[in-house]
Amino acid sequence: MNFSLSKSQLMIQKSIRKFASETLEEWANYLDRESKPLPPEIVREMGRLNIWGIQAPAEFGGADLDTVSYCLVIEEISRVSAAVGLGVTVHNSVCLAPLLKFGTRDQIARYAPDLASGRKIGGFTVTEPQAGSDAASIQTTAVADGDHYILNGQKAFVTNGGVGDLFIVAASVDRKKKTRGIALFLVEKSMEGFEVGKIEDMMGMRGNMVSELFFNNVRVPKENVLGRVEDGFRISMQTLDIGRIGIAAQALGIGTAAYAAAATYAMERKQFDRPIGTFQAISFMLADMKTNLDAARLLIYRAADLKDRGLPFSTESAMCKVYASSTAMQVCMQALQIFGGYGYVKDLPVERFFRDAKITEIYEGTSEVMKIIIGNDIIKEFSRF
Amino acid sequence: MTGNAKHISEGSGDVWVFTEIQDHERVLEGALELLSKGREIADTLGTKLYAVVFALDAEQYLPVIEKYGPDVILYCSDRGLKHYDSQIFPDLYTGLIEQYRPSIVLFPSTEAGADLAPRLAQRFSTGLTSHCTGLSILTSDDYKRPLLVMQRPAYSGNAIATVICPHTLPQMATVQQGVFDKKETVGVKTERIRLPFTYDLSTLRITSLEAPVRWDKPRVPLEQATVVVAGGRGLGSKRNFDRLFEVAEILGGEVGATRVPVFNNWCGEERMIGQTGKTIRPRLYLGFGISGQIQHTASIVDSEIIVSVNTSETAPIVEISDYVISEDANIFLARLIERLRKEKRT
Amino acid sequence: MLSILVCIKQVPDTQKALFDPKTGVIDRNSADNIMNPDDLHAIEMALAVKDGYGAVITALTMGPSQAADVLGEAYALGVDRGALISDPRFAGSDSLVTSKILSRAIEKLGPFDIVMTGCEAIDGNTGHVGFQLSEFLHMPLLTQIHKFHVSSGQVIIERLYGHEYQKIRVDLPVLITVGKTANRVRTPRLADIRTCTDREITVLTMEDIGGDACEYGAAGSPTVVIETELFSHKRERELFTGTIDEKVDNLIHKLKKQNILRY
Repeated sequence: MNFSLSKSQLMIQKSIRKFASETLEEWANYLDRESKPLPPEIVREMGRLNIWGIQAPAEFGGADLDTVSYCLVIEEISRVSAAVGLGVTVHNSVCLAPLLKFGTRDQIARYAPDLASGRKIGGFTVTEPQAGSDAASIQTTAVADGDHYILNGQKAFVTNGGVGDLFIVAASVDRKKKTRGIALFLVEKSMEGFEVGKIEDMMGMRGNMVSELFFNNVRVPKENVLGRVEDGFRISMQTLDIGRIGIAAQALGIGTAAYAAAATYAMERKQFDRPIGTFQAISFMLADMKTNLDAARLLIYRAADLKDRGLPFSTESAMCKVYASSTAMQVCMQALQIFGGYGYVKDLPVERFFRDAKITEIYEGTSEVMKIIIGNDIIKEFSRF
Repeated sequence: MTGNAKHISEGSGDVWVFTEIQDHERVLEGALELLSKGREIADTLGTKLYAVVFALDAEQYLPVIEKYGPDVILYCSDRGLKHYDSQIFPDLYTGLIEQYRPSIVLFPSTEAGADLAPRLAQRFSTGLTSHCTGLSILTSDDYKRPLLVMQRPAYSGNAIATVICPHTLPQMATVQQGVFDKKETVGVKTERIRLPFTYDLSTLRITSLEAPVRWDKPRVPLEQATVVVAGGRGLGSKRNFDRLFEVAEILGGEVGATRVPVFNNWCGEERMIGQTGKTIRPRLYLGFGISGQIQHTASIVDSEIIVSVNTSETAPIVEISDYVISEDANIFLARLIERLRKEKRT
Repeated sequence: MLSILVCIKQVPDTQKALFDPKTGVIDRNSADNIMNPDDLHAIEMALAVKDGYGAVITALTMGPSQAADVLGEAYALGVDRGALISDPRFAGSDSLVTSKILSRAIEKLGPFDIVMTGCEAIDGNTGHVGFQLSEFLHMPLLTQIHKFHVSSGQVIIERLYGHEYQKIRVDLPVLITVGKTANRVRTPRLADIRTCTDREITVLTMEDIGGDACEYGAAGSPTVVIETELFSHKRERELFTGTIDEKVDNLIHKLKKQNILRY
């Protein structure tokens, strides 16, 4: 068992760290303050670097990287701007990834090149105002009509909603069939009847244009059903398994940024004639932060490794997501405490890390749902029946 | 191709100085400093000091040079010598070195010196030590002759290396300006030797063209700038902050800021130093009206020279400053700009 | 199609390295090995020429076998070929011998239209190699380039040289040294980083470039380092005295001495 990163993984980490520091850092505060998305020229440069197609095959313009490398990219970007990291990981792992995994050759040929290059930005949406964790109770309908399905409904809290060009949308074809009646549709924003609703004014991740989406009699061709009509729910669950690893890496990035800032500050800030980091109360906090972040990191890499080897990874994915997100939240709180008053003012990014961290315990499956998944697995494992 | 090296087996013991002329106007200060040191070394060795001068009209500089006591001045005047040239100067020096066989040749660490010295070292397959911060003479039984001992920074200034060139001649060194002090010497009778200029200019491979009068200076990111002129709360207003740009312009640097100017929109965020970690390593950092909060100072501490201009003598930034100027930043800025403008004009 | 050769060097990261306080020598285990920063800018300039005019770029480095890492970085950025000069007999070479070795390797791998190097390495800090390569290869050297244009066997460059803005024309082949202020180094594509460690590297030994062992290594080097001492940076904290005008004068005088303000 080798716990070290490979030479090319180290190169990737170093390279994206440098890119994030030189290009994204100066935008991070602005995106957060103004709640604006990344400017197009940076989106384009990220496309050139294959950041919009990290694991996509080279034939579509992707970098075809392994999942640990993927996590390194998401983590390094999220250290500097969690909002940008969110946009990148959602685009890559819950839009492009399921397209490549479950799409037809035709669907892939039509959409993958644009997505992998960043010419088009993608999203994935199941959640509605009345349906969050209870995903099966969604009310968006898709009625068959000749060669098309007609979609009607409303989606809530759609990541990349305000900027996305292509969305994977969950809709119910037959509400009586419950989960078996849910299908996934590839919906382009240019389709008639598709409407972006309000952009949410959020506590954190403010550089991502999370929004409502409205579907008013949107005619989606039958060729745009992702997978089989009855497989929508199953594909969603598998997609979220993949997505959670990226979200965990994002949370790890936020936590690592907060920890590094706090540790640096603790050794520079002197009170009572010594750096506050040399007082046990503070150094114990830092010790906790380091240990938990490292544990999160190992859980993430292990889930990534299982995925790459084609082994089941749902439980491990849930574990790394719940652990990394709660660690990020704890670390940010402690970091803010270490910064004292300076942590509370907007001059420093610590309060932004704190605001950004919270949502990682909620989206792509709340921590409670993660525990249901893990719990069900335990029940299966230890049941005699 | 890589053969044809010339070798000097027996040196005259003399010390030579590349006496560079600056901007066709004056003898380079660094050259006068080297002549001063060269005089000292020649006296230690009991040998002669030569000043070598090439210029459009070299004669006008000889009286100044003679004040520093060279035994001999080798000089040559010609239109072709108006600017330093990478072909002409090395070729002429090569001939002179072959003829006179100096044991030591010293060069100021300028663009010209940094070009001429390594080329000559290559032609004579001899050693060159650059950016020297110290020169002395070592006499030891281990070596056939007294040796020039050269000290220079290594590992980006983290160490000092002591170097000798024991087996080849001439021993060559380039010296940073300001390392030695100028010192005039009286009582030396200087022999002036005028050299004829015979050079086939048609062999020159570089052709000068008409340069455009206007040029846009490339904007360099702060992390790559050699000079950073930074402003903080103490400047008080955008109008005052804007003056930093003129200083930066004259010194060939970029403008930086602490968080106060950025948050007050006196300048853009890309100029902010500190915070989440834009670390800079310029040769010169000038801080105007900056007290030196940790976030900022941690990011400038690798600068070669730190100058702080601040009314408070106990501001944190003083701890890490090389030069501390306790004045109102705005008033000092205004006077500095005035002086710099005057320097630029003369 | 232009052929370009870029000389690059693997160096310890002197900013982060620790030094043995007794010998002043760098503890090579304490520091990461990186590509010399100026050399990254040289590669970027070569890539800019390739983008603009089309070129085949060869990266060349000299060192022990782990120096091949910088060739991997060069491949990730977009060079086409990589070569490593590696021979234990070359260890301990000073700048003159290094230039000799590089020039012989360049002659073996060439001919090239343009040879590029960084201005200075952060470990040796001599800055000699560009000039000495110019002598060994008999190629004119151009430095501090601001604008660069190639056409029909000629290079036309613009640059600020001292106080003077110059425009210069030279026939190919030419040698160019590149410093940190010349450009901004591009970020390598993730796809290129993935494949860079698999790319082929040509290895050259003393037999390949010719010459005798006595010309190379420490034995062949005219300069000898007899001592290295750690240098601790202590800030002077020199408080300027006098009237404000005297302080201004003093500052300007200091800046001239440090060669930051040119006379």
